[in-house]
Amino acid sequence: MTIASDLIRGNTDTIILASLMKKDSYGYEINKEISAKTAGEYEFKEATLYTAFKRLEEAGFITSYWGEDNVTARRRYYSITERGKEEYINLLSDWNRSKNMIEKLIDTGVMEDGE
Amino acid sequence: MENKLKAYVNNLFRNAPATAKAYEVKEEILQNLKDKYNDLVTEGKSKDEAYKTAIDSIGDLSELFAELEKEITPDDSKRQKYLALRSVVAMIFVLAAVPLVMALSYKSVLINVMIAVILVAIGIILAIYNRTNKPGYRHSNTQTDRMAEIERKRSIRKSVSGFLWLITLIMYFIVSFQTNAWHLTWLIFLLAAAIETILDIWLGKAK
Repeated sequence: MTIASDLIRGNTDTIILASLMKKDSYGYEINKEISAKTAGEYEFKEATLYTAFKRLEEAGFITSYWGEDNVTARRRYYSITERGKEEYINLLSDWNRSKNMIEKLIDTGVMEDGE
Repeated sequence: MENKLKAYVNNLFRNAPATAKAYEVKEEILQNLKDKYNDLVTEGKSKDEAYKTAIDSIGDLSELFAELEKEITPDDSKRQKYLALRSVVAMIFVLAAVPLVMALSYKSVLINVMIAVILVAIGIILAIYNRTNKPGYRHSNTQTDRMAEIERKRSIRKSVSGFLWLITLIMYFIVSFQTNAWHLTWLIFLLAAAIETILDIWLGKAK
């Protein structure tokens, strides 16, 4: 699990941008989605999530605004910008290239033979 | 239990930079934790378990604080400039004592007193100018704020000007009585007018 979380943490920006590609969202909702998609195996720490938000906002990849929909809980929504969408495409192709490379480097066929 | 979460987060943020942004992030994180806590309780977790899971999900905030710190660097450089100029002013006042001591030894009294007065004048003008640059958190750019800023600059310009003319008058009498060159010493007023113009440009026009 530690290698997996390291790998995921290295792709924090990509994951956040990916979840904002569909719609604007707030911190807890993004994390709930990630938890659901990974069957509860992974979730960002609040610190990781908000450090990434600040970094992405500073880089101009996302913007944020206070939501109006809920009176009892004020939520800040994050929204991807055009530049953010371009960045997401770049990061995604980066990831695909690395994934292919790593697969070629570490796959020896042992797993298939063993089964 | 919500108050307990709030107290916990407040305590974690006690070392965060004192900015509006840091406060907002704190509120967001606290809201997320409350949501998480309530969801866990709804799922059937005990209150203590839900509280523990919620605070465990915060993680290490030091990187976030560093990111928030980066956003206040412009203010920081202003602060350094302010502190540097303040030490220059202090140095000028100390230096002014040197010609005064020399004047006490009755060697070229007039010129030494003049140098001391000029140094003190420069020191005071710099100190007043430096006050306009005193850093603080000024996030809002509203109309009233800008009016207040202009008003402040105007009043500072007025006090600098008043001080300059007072010094000029004192110098005029000291120099004139010492040298008896009354036909020349009035030129000091022309000099003061020139200095005032230069200061106006320097302080930024605030009519």
